[in-house]
Amino acid sequence: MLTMGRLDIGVAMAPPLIRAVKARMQTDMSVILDAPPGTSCPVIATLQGSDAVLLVTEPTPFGLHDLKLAVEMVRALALPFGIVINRAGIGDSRVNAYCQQESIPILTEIPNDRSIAEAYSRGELIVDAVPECRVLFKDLINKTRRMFFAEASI
Amino acid sequence: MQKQAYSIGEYRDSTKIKELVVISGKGGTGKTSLTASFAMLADRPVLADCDVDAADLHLILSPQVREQSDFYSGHEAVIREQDCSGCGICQDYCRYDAVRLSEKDARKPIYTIDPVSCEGCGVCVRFCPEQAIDFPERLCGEWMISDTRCGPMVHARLGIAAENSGKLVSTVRREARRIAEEKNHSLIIVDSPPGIGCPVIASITGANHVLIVTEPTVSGEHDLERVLALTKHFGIPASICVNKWDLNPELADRIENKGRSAGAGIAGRVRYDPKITEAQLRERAAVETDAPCADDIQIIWENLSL
Repeated sequence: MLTMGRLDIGVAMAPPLIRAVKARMQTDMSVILDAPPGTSCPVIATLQGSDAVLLVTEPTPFGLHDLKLAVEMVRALALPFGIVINRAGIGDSRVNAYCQQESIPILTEIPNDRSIAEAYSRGELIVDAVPECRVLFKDLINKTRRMFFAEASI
Repeated sequence: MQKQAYSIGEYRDSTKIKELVVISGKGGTGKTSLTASFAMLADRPVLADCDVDAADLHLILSPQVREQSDFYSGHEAVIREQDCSGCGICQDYCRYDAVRLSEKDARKPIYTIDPVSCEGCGVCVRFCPEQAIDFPERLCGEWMISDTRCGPMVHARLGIAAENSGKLVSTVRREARRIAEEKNHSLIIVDSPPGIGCPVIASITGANHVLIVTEPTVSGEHDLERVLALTKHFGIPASICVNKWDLNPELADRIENKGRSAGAGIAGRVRYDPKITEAQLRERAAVETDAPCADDIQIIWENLSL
């Protein structure tokens, strides 16, 4: 089941709409929220009340810089979190070093692969288009369940 | 009281200074990389990084900070524990669930206010029978004026979980314009946050031109429609640039056609080029390196003819 909100054009305030979307979530099943980027009000409105957060980053200077802000944010909200590195191999190892230094778990690394970008461009699910990704994502969801929800693997 | 925003007419007509804003519907389309290259190609620009949530332009332009100012916006409620009688009226009235019962000792319950949840409406301040709630201005971030190798730059940092990024964006643009006026710069280049919400609106109102950076993906196409509707709503001339166009040439065509029929110009295309990350690692704009995409960016810059 998908619940989505769409802000009218020219309307400034996203958080009330985000709260309205969340109020319609069905809470008797697992809920996955796709948050906007950044660290300000719309992101906070999305994260508040959640059980765990996955921070998706890239191993680049921009990625590392924004990741540090995101980590500060989830720590301020006192939410458990882990990292997913997207486009692994494109930049350098500073994101990995930072996570190690801060004892932040890296749950998976999705390789930088033009075929993934092309599949995404066509609107395909990358778990369908790229077989290696299916394995990665299965592993990611199992780690997430074990780490944050003390649940068994599927 | 400082003026926080300009009306559109006043902003556009006040001077001959041109203002180019680089925007995108979603994050990660290459806005900041393009802005950094434009900063190098432009003649004496003033730069404004309005992505106050996740400012990245400084990672390429290595600014030397000259001035730094605190950014205050709104208020936050703070309970003075020694004056609080523990009646709990504030908790009853708070619509944002910001009042927490932190502990209960033998004499009275202790209430505190969660600064992240507090929206600064002040209702608890009004209704507190003991007048035990302070309501100071809220420190929401800071903004800086810096020197870079291609000109002055105004940038900012919004506090973590802070509100009112739109107002901070307006502050950054206002300062960039002030510098341009004082020092006779004819062009301001603005790096906008992604999306179509409040900080984006604050970034584009009254600008001369908007460059929309998009990708040839189905989500890019969808977000482009939203951004085009936004620029049309505010009556700002817009051009489109498809980044990584060769990932899906067919969709790149379709996106440009959509742009044309919405009245937008086509500024050009940038190829998929891993060298742009190498440039970023070296804290250089793509046009400062031998990255193949530098040629594409040069053409886009010429097409914008600012």
